[in-house]
Order: sequence, then structure tokens, then C-alpha cells
Amino acid sequence: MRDGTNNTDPLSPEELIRKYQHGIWRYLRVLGCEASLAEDITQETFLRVIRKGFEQYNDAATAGYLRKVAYNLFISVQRREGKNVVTDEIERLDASWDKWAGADNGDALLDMLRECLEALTERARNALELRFREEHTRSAIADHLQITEHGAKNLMQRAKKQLRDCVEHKNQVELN
Amino acid sequence: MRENRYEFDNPILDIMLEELLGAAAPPDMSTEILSKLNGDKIEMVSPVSITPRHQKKRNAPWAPLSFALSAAACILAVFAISLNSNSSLTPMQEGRDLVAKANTPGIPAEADGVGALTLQNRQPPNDTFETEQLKPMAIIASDDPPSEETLAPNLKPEPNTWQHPLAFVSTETIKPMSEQDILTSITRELSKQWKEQGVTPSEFASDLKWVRRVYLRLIGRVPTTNELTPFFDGNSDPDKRETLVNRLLFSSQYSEEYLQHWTNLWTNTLIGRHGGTGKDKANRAGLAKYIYASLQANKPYNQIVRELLAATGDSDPDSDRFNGAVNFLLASVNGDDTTLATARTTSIFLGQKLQCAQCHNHPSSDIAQNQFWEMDAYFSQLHTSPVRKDEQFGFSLSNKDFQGVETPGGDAGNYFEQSNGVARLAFPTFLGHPEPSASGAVDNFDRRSRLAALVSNSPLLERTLVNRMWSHFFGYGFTSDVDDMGPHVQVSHPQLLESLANQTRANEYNLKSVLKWLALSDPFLRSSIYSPSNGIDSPELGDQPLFSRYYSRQLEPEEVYQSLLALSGTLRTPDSFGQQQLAQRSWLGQFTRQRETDEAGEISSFKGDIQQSLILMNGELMKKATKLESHTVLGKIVASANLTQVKVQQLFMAALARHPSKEELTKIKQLSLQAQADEQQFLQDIWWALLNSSEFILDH
Repeated sequence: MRDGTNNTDPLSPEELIRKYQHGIWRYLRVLGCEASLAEDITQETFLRVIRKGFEQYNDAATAGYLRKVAYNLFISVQRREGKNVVTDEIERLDASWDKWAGADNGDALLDMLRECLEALTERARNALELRFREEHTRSAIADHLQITEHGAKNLMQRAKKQLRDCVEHKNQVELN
Repeated sequence: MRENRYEFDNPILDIMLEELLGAAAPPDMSTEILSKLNGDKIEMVSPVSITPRHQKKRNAPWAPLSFALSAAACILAVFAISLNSNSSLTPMQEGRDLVAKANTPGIPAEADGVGALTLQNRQPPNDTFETEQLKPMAIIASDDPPSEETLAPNLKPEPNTWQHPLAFVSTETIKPMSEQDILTSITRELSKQWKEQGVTPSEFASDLKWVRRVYLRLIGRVPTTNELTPFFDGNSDPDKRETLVNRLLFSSQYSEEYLQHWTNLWTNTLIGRHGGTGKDKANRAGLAKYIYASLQANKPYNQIVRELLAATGDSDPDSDRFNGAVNFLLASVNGDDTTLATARTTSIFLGQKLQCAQCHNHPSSDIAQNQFWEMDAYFSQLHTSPVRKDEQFGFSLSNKDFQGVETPGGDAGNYFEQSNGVARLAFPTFLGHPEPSASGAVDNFDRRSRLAALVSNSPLLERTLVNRMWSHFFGYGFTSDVDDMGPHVQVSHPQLLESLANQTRANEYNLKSVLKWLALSDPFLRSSIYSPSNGIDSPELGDQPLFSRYYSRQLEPEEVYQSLLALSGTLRTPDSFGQQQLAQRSWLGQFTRQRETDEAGEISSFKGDIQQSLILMNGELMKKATKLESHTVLGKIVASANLTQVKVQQLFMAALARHPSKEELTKIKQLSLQAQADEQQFLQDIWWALLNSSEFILDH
């Protein structure tokens, strides 16, 4: 998943934003931000790092630094709103993101997932589409597929497990 | 891959799936970030200010200061107008209220260098976002070009390209089908879904049940015993149903009842149960008179709609310039506010609930806010004025040249405020299809007549009519709300709706034809009793109706009123139609009241609760219907020479259109033995119990 490219030429602010903005936004969404809050924090992250200035060693380091700033801003927002921040959990998510999508904004992961979705049965894909595209509740999905709510839950869990296994397999093949 | 705890787990997977399957892709923020970095006077965001967007306004610590500055700016702007008024306004506009100038049309586009913008605004809505026009606040500030602060870069909305695909009629000629073919097509289309869903429809209902239904649907009351007689066992005439429907629709015997019933229904549909009763400018009796006469002449429905929308004249029936049709719009305007007229026109005639987009883009469809205001622009020439004749007051409806915001091309638009606070011009546009020109002068472009022509020729008209009629007969339409058939709404039987709509057009919008098809259709003949084979056909639970059985429902209050009146023998009194309407409204007033909403909706307490029961049980109407007098149904049955048991059966038949069951007869016998009353008193008690039973007020 990592390209490990060393980029000796520092990026201009515009290039920096264009290259990393989607990764930071997705990362914040994974941490639990709503889309609009993720957008706000992403903007603030770039404003801060560009105004302050920083050394650009390589892509991974830059991405890591930007995520760290975004992460700190996110924690600040959570605390200011009086929300308890379970740091362990966030750190685990942070590490997971770093491992799976850290260096390329998650684009490669997205491509793998797109391919893996094709391998699902039509029924399983339909259930996930109802959940993520139509934003149906589990009971509405059950009604739509004419199965029980429990059946809908199992169907989606199995579909997601299949997707996880598929992505992990593809990733392993790529690494080998 | 699972050697460590950093698995590819749910949160990442979920976010990725949302992006792949939903519409949750990351936005491009580069322009916004760069503009902030370039120091375009927008305050840099400090770490403390990072809050979710929807909370920014509420939580901003500088909100009071911002409000004070905004208020000061408004005062300065108004002051600026007063300084510039001599140079920027035409003589016609001089002397108008300054605040009105700041917020409403009336300022010529050439006045302050925004003519180019206004011109761009006349482009069709599918053009680029340059169609956006800023609110006069930017225009009025001075003759100078608007400042950068006023023209904030994010004020331009996404262009709206939505056009209703069914707004205009197809050129394809539709051939009229025979009645039998139409009935067959109804059965065929419904059967398709029954088969797909594995549903077996209910058995056919008994003749007597069907007769009760058809009387209720076509003339709004239950049949009397005499009227049921031709359908007692033994009548095997295959045409008996069609004969009855023809009699109810076309014979002089029932003409008056048909006209009164449908006049009531259409009046309620058009202006609600409370329209034209004093809270608005309409004369309810005037509208009823127009509808009555139109139905009597069996005017095509599209002609009625055209006349309602383009009407001019006086509201009061005593006026020399009386035109009852004006009362539809008079009940729907309030001063210059024509939003209710727009909402009613689009929902009642076109099945498009544009009012959901009055204040913001439609929440669940592509309909944008401008669609509502562009339809509203068709009413901008509408003018009302009071009419006095002796002591009677009424109103006159006419057309008047609309000034609006005039473009150099001679078009006149009106401003509406978008949810982001920016005003935008609206010109007459029919469901996304713009007009080639939009002059405000009536002689050049009579907007209401144009709208009337568009609506009365739109295929949406017959679709909405069919859906409304279907809902009247079956309790459910093809959409969950008959007034909302927009592109976002799922239609339960699209082919059937299409077919019936086409046939309505092919039959020249003959209302009686539509009624006849539905009264003789397969689903109207089905029993309301369902079995395990069609138990899933339960629209009551929110599912789409399959019409595999007749859906039982409570009678409308008007139907209960007319039924009790018929049973009391006072249906055909010498009272005028107006007096009868007044009496009915007075009775209905106990159950309904108007909501103070933009849509002038109504709340009904006629839903089987204790209040309804008490009013029915103890009301004057019930007393009339249960009197032992020669003209009442009870009086006639009691006075006959039949045996008591036969009389009981006749009472059941008159109230419920069925024979009493064995259990009911047994119970009645037991009660008669216990009762200390004579036969008359005893039968009267039974009659009272039947009329107050749930079954009596149920259409089943």
C-alpha cells in the first residue's frame, strides 16, 4: 500500500493541498467526524501547516505529519465539546489507517474494494447498497429483501467479512 | 495479515463503502483553503473556532457584534437609497417606501449597473451559474460596483437543470379504448402484481355490499332498502351493475344528489372545508355554484381547470360580473402573497408538491427552490379588489400589469430569498421549462392564461385526476399522497396509472367516464375480507397497496351526514342547495378545523373517537333519523304489516346493506323477551344501535 517515494522537491501549497486533502478528510471520517466537520478540520490542518511551514522529507512523512496535526485538532474539538475521547481507540484507528491507507490517501484501498465488491453475490451487494447508498435501516433492508432483521444483519456481516478477506488477500498478493 | 491488531476493520471499511456506494466522496477544498491563505479578508480560522458547520452560527462568540454590524449596514444601505433615489429610480417608482425598495422588486435593472446580471438571469435554468442574481442589498448600496465583501465567492449556487419530463403532452395520438377493454386492462395490470407477489385476491363481494359502496362513492350516501331491492337474491341480470352505475351517473332521478355530492367533494379539494367561509376573500357558495353548473354541463375536467386558473370577475353570486371560478384563486391569495395559489395549483392539478421547495431545495427530489417561485411568477399579474354592492361585500379578480424587476429585454421578474440569504430573480417557468419571454404587461403576456393552458394540457393533469379518483374509490391512490406524485415518489402501479391517464385524455376528460370505469372495475367488486393468501396486502401498515381486496375505511363526515339525512327522509327537502350546504357545514364544523399553515390544511376529529361517538349518538341529526314518523325509514318499516322478524331484517338492510346473522337474530330475540317496551320502542332501539354501530360508518 505504501509507495515509499522520496520526494526531494518540496511541494507548493497548492500541490500539497491537492495531493493530501482527500486522505486527511477520509482519515478524519474514519476517526468518527461527520463530513462537514471533517471538511472544517482538513482546511484548518492545511492552513496551520502551510502558515507555520515544515520540512518535506518524503510523502509518507508529510502524510503522517498532516494526519498528526489533523488528529490533534480533532481531539481538541472533541474535548471542547465535552466529549470523552477514548484515546486508545483513536490511536488504534490511527494505526490501522496508517497501515492500510497511510501513504496514498486510501486510493489503492478504494480500488481494491471496488474490485472486491464485484465478487459479492447480487443479494449481498444489494444489501450493502441499501445500507450505504440508500441509508436504509436494518429493518427496512430486511423488508426490502423479504428476510428477517436478523437475516439482514447476518447477510451484511458476512458480506463485509468477505470484503475484508478479499482486500487483505489482494494486499498480500501485491506485497509479495 | 492478521499478525497484528491493526486490522482492516469496520470503520475504514464503512467509510470506504460510503464513498463507493453512497455519495460521500471527499470534497475539493483546495480553492477555499488557498483563498484563505491568500488573505482575502476572510478571517483566519483559529483552533478555537473549529466547530461543526451547523453550529457555527449559534456558537460564534462574535455573533452579537456581527448582528450589530449587519443592522448598521442595513440602516446605511437604506440611507444610501434615500440619497440615490433621485438618480437611480424611475419617476414611476419615486415615492415608494424605501424599505420596500430594499427588499422587493421595483428597481430597474439599468439603474445601477447590474443590467448585465439581470440579463443573464433570463437565461434558461439549465445555463451556467451566472444566472444567479444578488439581492437588491448589493444593488442599492450605491451606483458603484458591488464590493468584494458583498460578492462573496461562494454565493453562486449549483445550476439547476431539473425539468419535469411529463410537463408537456406527447404528440403521440392516443386511441380511445372501449369500456370493456379498459376494465380488462385494469384487471390485467393488477393481476400482474398479484402474481409477482404471490397473492390471491379476495373473493368478490356480495351484490348488496357492492351496491352500498357504489352509492357511497358516486352519490355520497348509503342506499335505502328500496334501492337495494333490485339486488336481492335472484337477480341474475349480467348488466345489473352497469345499469345501476348508469342510473346513478346519468338519470335525472339521481342527478341532484350526484351534483351535490361532487360539488362538495371538489369544493373541499380545491379550497378545503373552511375556504370561502370568512377567513379569505372567496365566496364558498360562489365556487360551489360554478362547480355545480360545470358538473351539470359535464364540462371536461381540463376545461374546468383552465377556467379556474384564468378566471376573472366577481366572487359574489349576486354581482353582475359574477364568475364563481374566481373563488378558487381568491381563497388562495393573501394580498400579494400567491404562494398558496401556487401550492394548490401544482399539487391539486399536477400532483407536484412544489411547496416543499418554497423555502429550500426539495429534501427528497431534484426540485430546486427556484422551481416553486418560477411557478409562483405565473400569478404575479393577479390582482384582487373589494367590491361593494349595497351591504354585500365581495372581491373581484382581475389581471394587472406586473412591474417587478424589469430587464432591458422587457421581462419582469420577482425576487425570492434562497436559504443562503441571497435573493434570486424568478420568471415564469413551467416545471423547469422556461418561457420564451416573460413580459409583465398583460397585453403582451397574460401569465395566468398561459399557466391555465399549460396545466390543462399537461399529461400530469390526467395522471393526478386518475390518482385522485382511484384514491376516492379505493381509499389509497397509486402514490401514498395523491397530491404528491413528483419524480421522487414511487408509483405502485405505473403502467395502470399511465393507461388510465391516457384513456382519460382520449375520452376528453369526461369525469363520469372515469367514475364509471372505477365503479365497475375488478378491485371495486372484491370483498374487504382478506385471507392468508393476501394478508401481505396491507397498505394500512405502510406497504404499497396491491388492491387485491377492498380496503375498509371510515366514511367521510359528509357521507355520514348525507346518509343520516337520507334515512331521516329529509334528503329532498325544498331547501335550496345553498341552505343545505350551510346546514351541512354547520354540522361538519363540530369535527374539523383549519390549520394555520401555509397549505391551509385541516384537522379532523372525525376518526372514531369518543367525541365523534357522543356527537353522533346525541346529535339532532341522529334524533331525526331515529324518529318514528311517517317520512323516516324507521317509520315506514315500523308501519308496515310485516312480522317483527322481517322488520328487523329490513332495519339491518337499510343501515348495513346486509341480513342479520344468526347470532344477531338470536341475541335480538333474547333482548325482545327481556325488554319491557312495545314493538315500536324495541325496533327504534335496534335502529338507534345500528346507526351508532361501527359498521354503519364503515365503507367495507
